[in-house]
Amino acid sequence: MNATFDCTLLYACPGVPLDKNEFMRACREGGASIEQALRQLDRQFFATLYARAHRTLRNADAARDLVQETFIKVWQRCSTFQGSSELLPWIDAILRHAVLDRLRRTGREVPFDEAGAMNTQVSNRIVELSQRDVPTPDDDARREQLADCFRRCWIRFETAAPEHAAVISWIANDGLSHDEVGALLERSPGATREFISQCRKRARVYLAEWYELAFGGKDSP
Amino acid sequence: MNFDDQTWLDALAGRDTAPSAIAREALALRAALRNGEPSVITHPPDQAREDALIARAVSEGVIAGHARPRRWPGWQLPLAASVLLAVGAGVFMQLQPPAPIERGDEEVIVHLVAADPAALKRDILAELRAAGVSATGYEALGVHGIDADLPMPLTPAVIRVLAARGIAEPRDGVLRIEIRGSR
Repeated sequence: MNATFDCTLLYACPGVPLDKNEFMRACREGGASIEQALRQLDRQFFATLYARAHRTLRNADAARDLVQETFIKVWQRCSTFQGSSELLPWIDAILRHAVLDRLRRTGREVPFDEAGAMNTQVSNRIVELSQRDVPTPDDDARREQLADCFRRCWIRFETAAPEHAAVISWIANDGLSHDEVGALLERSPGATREFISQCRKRARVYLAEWYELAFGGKDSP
Repeated sequence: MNFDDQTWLDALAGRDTAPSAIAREALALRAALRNGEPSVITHPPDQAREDALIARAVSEGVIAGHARPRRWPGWQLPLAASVLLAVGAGVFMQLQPPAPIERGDEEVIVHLVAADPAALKRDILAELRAAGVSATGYEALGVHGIDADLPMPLTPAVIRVLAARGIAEPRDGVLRIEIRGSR
């Protein structure tokens, strides 16, 4: 198909960002306006959304496909966008839902025995370690060692509990609140509280080695 | 969620919390996750990627495909129009001065009658185009017409235009309108 730029539609001109008012206008008009706006969305947000999808899925093809799926959903739901927020946060929420749907379809969540003796031991040790100050690595080698350890632990966490890992990552990177997590997961406030509690407990187990290294000092394993 | 979990959530999200072991644990995790963010990945505009997106949008019915060829090309249209005019002329001569617009019930072609067919054609064309429809206007043997391929499923904007004009939604997405003068 040919990409022609209809500059009577401001956002269809290369380099002109699609703002939320133009987005809502395209949604109302439909037809050719949607095609132009879809192309502009891709130019404007693909890189950001791809990075976020890839961070969770760790697969380039899956991330690319998910971003495309997200753009389609954006237009299927465009009439629900009221303009109370900017476009990117709204699109981001749609992307997160799509990520969670995909993670749930894979069904690879490992059951978690929170009452297990090892988990209790790990938990107690982390509480003990984190009485100290937040560690600040003092040299490049140490920083690299910590980063490597974190990556290994995090991948294990993501593999065993992808939904919990994804939510923790969104909380850290995007500052999600309790209510926002609940809306994302479509859970009641009580169920959301339980989920967040589970996130913390699971993170302690899967990141135990990194916590030990980070808080325990140079002599730790 | 107990107090510790709330503290952990707030510290992890970067919100202010009182210093505590729980907060330190979450802050360390937050720092590690944010440090692990890849540097900004640039993805320049990609024509093939955009085209794939549009193709998917078409296949999922978000936007209509490219316009199909008109069904009445070239000489067929004037011929059809003249036959129709010959058959209908007697009937129209008997009509009282009509309301500005009357609509026929023929299945394929929507017939409208207006005091100023050219003006009505222009108005409907403008409305369809504003709704994102690729529509063509023509005039043959005194009959003004519009051919348009509508997006399927119909978009809300198109449905509004059709409803406002009292035009039934075509099942196959092909809209054909003929407008005759009322005088």
